[in-house]
Amino acid sequence: MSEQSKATQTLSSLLERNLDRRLLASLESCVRCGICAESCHYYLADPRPEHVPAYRGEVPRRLYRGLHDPLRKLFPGLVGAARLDEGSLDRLGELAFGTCTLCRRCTLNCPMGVDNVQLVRALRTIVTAAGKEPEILSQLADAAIGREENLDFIKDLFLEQIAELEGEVRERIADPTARIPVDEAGADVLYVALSGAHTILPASATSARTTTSARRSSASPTSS
Amino acid sequence: MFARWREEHLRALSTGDDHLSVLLVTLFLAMATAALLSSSMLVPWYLVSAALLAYLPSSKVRHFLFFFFSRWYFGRLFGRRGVVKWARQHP
Repeated sequence: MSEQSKATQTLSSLLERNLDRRLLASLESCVRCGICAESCHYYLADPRPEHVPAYRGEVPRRLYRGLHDPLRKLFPGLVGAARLDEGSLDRLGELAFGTCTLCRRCTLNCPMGVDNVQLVRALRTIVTAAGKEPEILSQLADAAIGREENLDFIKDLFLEQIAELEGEVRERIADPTARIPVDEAGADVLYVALSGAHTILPASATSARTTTSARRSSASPTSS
Repeated sequence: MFARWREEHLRALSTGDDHLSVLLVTLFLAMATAALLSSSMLVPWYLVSAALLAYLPSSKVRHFLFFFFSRWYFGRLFGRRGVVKWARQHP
C-alpha cells in the first residue's frame, strides 16, 4: 500500500473514531433543503454554494457514505459517496477553517435540528491530523498549552483593550453612548473572544494588524 | 423538486439520491390522492409504494427515523444552554 493511501486511510479512520450517536444523527438527518443558507452570515455576505452550511456538512457526510452507505459500491455517484484524497485535503482546510465560525445559527434554523458544528469539527479534526490547518492556529494552541496561559491571567489587560476598542467603536459609528459590555449578567448575546491570542503569540497581532491595514487600504477609494 | 433544479446552491448540494427520493415521495403522495379518487389507481399506488419502501433503507428518506434523535440532541443542547427563549422562561 502506498504512503499516500495509508495516510488517507488513517484520516478516514479518524472520522470513524469520532462517530458518536450525536454525530451520526446529524450525518443522517440532513435532507439538503438549503434553509440553513439564509441563516449563515457567510452566505448572506457572499452567496456562494460553498457558504451554505449544508454544503460544508456534506463533505464529512460524503466521506461517511463512502464508508457506510449500503449503495456505496454499486452506485457511488447516486448516493454521493466519496473517498478522501490528498488533493481534496487542501480545499477542505479552507472550507473547515475559513468559512464557519461555529455560531450554530444554522442549527437553530434547521427543521431537522442538524448540528453542522459537529460536522465542521469532525472536518477540522481530519484536516488538522493531515497538517493542512492554518499554521497560525496550531502555533497559538501550542503556545497556549506550552505556557499554560488562559484569559484569567490577563483579564486586566483584556479589559483595558476592550475600553480602548470601545472608544474606537464610538468614534467610528458616531455614537458616544455605544459600549462593549463584559461579563454582563442576563445578556441575550454571548461573545467569547479569542483568548488573548496576541499576548500569547506576538506574531499573530502583527499579522492581524497587517491584514486589517491591508483591508483598509484596499477598501479605501484613494488607493489604487 | 423544482426548487432543487432551479436554485444554484441547491443544485450544488444535491446528489442523484436527493432527486430520486423526492420524486418517489412525490409520486407516492400523488398516487395516494389519485387512489382515493378512483379505485383504478390502486395498483399503480401499490407499485410506487413498493418502490419507495424498497429504496427507503438505502436513501436519504432514512431521515424520517433519524430526525427524532437529531431533534432530541438539538433540544438537549440548546435547552440546557437557554438559547431558546421558551426554555429560558420554563427552566
